[in-house]
Amino acid sequence: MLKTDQQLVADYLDGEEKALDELISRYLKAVYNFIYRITNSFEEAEDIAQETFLKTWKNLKKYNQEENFKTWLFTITRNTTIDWLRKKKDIKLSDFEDYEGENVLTNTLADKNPLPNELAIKSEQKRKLDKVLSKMPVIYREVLLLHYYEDLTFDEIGKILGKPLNTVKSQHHRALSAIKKLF
Amino acid sequence: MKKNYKQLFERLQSFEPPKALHANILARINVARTRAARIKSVLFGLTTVLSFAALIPAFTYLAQQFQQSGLYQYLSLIFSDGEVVLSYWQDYALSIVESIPFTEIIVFMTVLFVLLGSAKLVVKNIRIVFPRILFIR
Repeated sequence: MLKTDQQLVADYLDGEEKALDELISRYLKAVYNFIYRITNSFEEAEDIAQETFLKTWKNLKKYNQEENFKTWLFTITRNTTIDWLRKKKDIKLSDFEDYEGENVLTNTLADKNPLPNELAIKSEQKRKLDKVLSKMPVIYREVLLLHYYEDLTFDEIGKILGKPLNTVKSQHHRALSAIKKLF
Repeated sequence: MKKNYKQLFERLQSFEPPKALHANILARINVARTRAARIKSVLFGLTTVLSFAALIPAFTYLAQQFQQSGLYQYLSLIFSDGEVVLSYWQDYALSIVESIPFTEIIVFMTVLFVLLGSAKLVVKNIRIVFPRILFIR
């Protein structure tokens, strides 16, 4: 039977070395891909993923078993990535800014302007989305990736980003607006 | 609508991490753990030595206090004058309690617990630094 993340953490803290190995295997790909999408660099994704799991190991004793492990891990991943980019000065302050003031906030976007299904199944879309995401401010990229790619709820994303639920929701709407604009 | 975006994001290319990445992460964790264990071994080793050194005077002082307290004399009364002890057992018990050197006992026990606790942590950390040492497993 597959052990839960919480069980694996508890097993590792009880001295079972392989539990940590399994936890890393379980989340390595997701963490690596998330970092890559933020940094657009495979080399940095590799370095930051190492740093992320090292920090995770260091803080494993502080992990609250009632908390969702994935949310906790992605909080560390996100913070490590942003710290890394800040140290490199590769990230501008404007990358954290939203499009507020540019009047693109459309709360009803999701209902009024659905993306056609056929648009999603075209292979060209993949490349286009890659391009669009890489151009998008980090703050929006994070919300979209965590919500649609990692299947996290807005509440969980709020915990990861350290922002209130409503802020995350409005950032999500703006991110979708940005996607539409850039496509 | 959400489904459409979900489908769109599912089309995002997913990259396999480099094959060595998993092993590299474990290696880095291992290096960090060994380093931390080495530092802890030294710190707890020093604590063990210091607490062992403190244990000797603490024990000597405790033994002195026991002798000076008259506790032995009170206790010997049980064998020499058992009937008197039974008759005045409340006063006798109070005298016994009053003669016990509590402060010295607390000091001695604290030093002893620090010694045992730090010795245990030294062994635990040495096992991480030198995992092949079998005799302390």
